[in-house]
This record gives sequence, structure tokens and C-alpha cells, in this order.
Amino acid sequence: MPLYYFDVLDGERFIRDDTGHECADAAAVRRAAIESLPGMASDVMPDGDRHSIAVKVRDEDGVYVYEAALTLNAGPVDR
Amino acid sequence: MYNPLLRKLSRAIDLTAEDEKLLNDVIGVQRGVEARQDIIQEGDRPEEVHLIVQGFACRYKLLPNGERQIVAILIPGDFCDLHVAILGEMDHGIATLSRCKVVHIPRKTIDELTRNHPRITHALWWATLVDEAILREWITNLGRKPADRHIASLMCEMYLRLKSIGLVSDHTFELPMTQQEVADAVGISIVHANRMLAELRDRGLVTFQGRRVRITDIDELVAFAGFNKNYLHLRRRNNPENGQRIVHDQGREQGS
Repeated sequence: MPLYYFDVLDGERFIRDDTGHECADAAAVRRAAIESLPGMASDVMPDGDRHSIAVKVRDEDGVYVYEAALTLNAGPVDR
Repeated sequence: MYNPLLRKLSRAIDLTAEDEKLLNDVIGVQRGVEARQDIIQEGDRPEEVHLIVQGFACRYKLLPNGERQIVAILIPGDFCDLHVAILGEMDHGIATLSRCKVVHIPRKTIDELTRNHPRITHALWWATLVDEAILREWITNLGRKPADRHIASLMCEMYLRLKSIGLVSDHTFELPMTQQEVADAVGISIVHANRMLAELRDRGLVTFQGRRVRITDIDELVAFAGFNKNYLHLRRRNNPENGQRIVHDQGREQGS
């Protein structure tokens, strides 16, 4: 099965995946990317009113093929 | 002979020489099991009790969508299914994480031990209670700890459990778990697990050499994890019936 690398962009921090995971097909890539987000987000939020966490998936050639992001936008309602 | 079961149960209670001989006799034929194989499955009604004498295994439950939750890690000296003599049926599966050596003990042997040897029965009961305490800790970690602290806690636990059976040297121990297995134990995605393991390494708390983990500074890791080892019950409770001496100093107990 081909290897895919799931890099994480947590706010401004970029964390490179040096291990990679095997994914059978595009559906598996999508699932792994999307399912990883809520868990990671719950660990880092809320630490401010605006925070975005994203997963960018690279194939074995280093080409980005998929991405998914969760964004927190919070604040009082302007009167 | 190195007997991890004896070493573990000695923490529960003072065992007599006869008790020790019985526990050594129980380590009979050892069967090898390859890594990532089921030792026993949910629904099984085993006639023999399985004891791990070498290697690592895990208790797990499968969800309908095929995902897995690892609910405990078993190390040498741990029984797989002692309780099934009373409960009757396995409500979870047990799989090896690494190559294992497993002793098969006939139910009759366990029945005989528990019927005629109260100290051994006490020790087995103690072991079951410690398993329960570990489960409470796992529930707390799964429910409330952020993933990095949770994985750090798991490493602290394995370090201390392995140390108590002599399997840690120079703060280094084997932890034969893939990233998926760590994710399954901690209840997170594999992508998240990968990130958290890298974070622990980048923080200088641990180093990885293949399947071996080296803890750079146990006190630092414990503090980072918010870990309290009380649930492992590593120290024996002071109890005169255990045969331990209690030294009194102006009315206060002094423990070992």
C-alpha cells in the first residue's frame, strides 16, 4: 500500500510527518485526515479566539494531494 | 529461575517457601506466540488459564466499524484470563503486541491453588484489584487528559511496571507498540499519535531506538504527564498479618 505523510499546521507551527502511514485509497487518506482533526483540536483549543489546525497530506513523491482544516472563530457579539 | 509471576505476587503478601515452590511449578510448558496474534478472543470460554512469561500483549475490544480500543497492556507475570474461571466467558480479546511466551495452566491447577493456599489466593486477588486500579486510571486519562500528557502517562506506567519485574535498565525499556497500537491505547487517531510521540521526543523527555524507549528524566516526564503512581500499588501496605515489621517511632509508623 502506498505511504502518505500527514503534515500538521497547528496555528503557525508546522509539524512534519517523518513516519508516514499506509493508505489503501483516496477514501482512506480523506478519512485519516479528517478524523485526526477533532482530537488534535480539542487538545489545543481554546487557547485564543482564533485558531486553525490543518492536516496536509503528501504522497511518496512529496506532492500534496489532500488537506483538511478546522478553524475556531470566537468572540463576543458586537452590539 | 526468573519467575515474573512470583516477582509480581511477592509484592502482594509475604509468600512462604512452599508458596514460592507452587508458583514456580505452575510455570510449565511455555508456548510461543507470534506478534499480533490473538491469544484469546471475545466470546471464548477457555478451559485453561493463560499466563504471559515473556513479551507484551494487550486486552482489546473491537467496535462495529472495525476500530479497536486497547484497554490494558499485559507484561510478563500477568494472567490473561484468571477471572474467566469465575466469569465464564471472555468479554474482550487478548492479542500479542510482540512475540510472547505463554504458559497454559489447567483450570484445575488454579482451583487447587485457590482452594488450599490462602496466601496465594490473597495475592491473586490483589493482582486483580491492581488491574482494576489501572483501569480507573485509564478511564481518567481517556476521559480528561490531553493526548501528549496521556501518552507520557502511559510511558510512566510502563516504566514503573516493567521496573518492578526487572525489565528496565538504564531508564530504557522495550515498548513493542506500533503507532496505531499507541493510538488504540490512548483513543486517538494515528496521525495524532504520530505527532504526540514526536512532541515527547522533541521536548527531550524520551528517545526512541526502534521499539525501545529511553526516559531522559523520569521526574520530568512524571511532572509533564501529571502522573501519580499510587494506582500501581508498588509498595506493599504495612500490615502485621503480612509478616512485615512495623517500626514505631513515637507512635508513628515508618514504612519500608
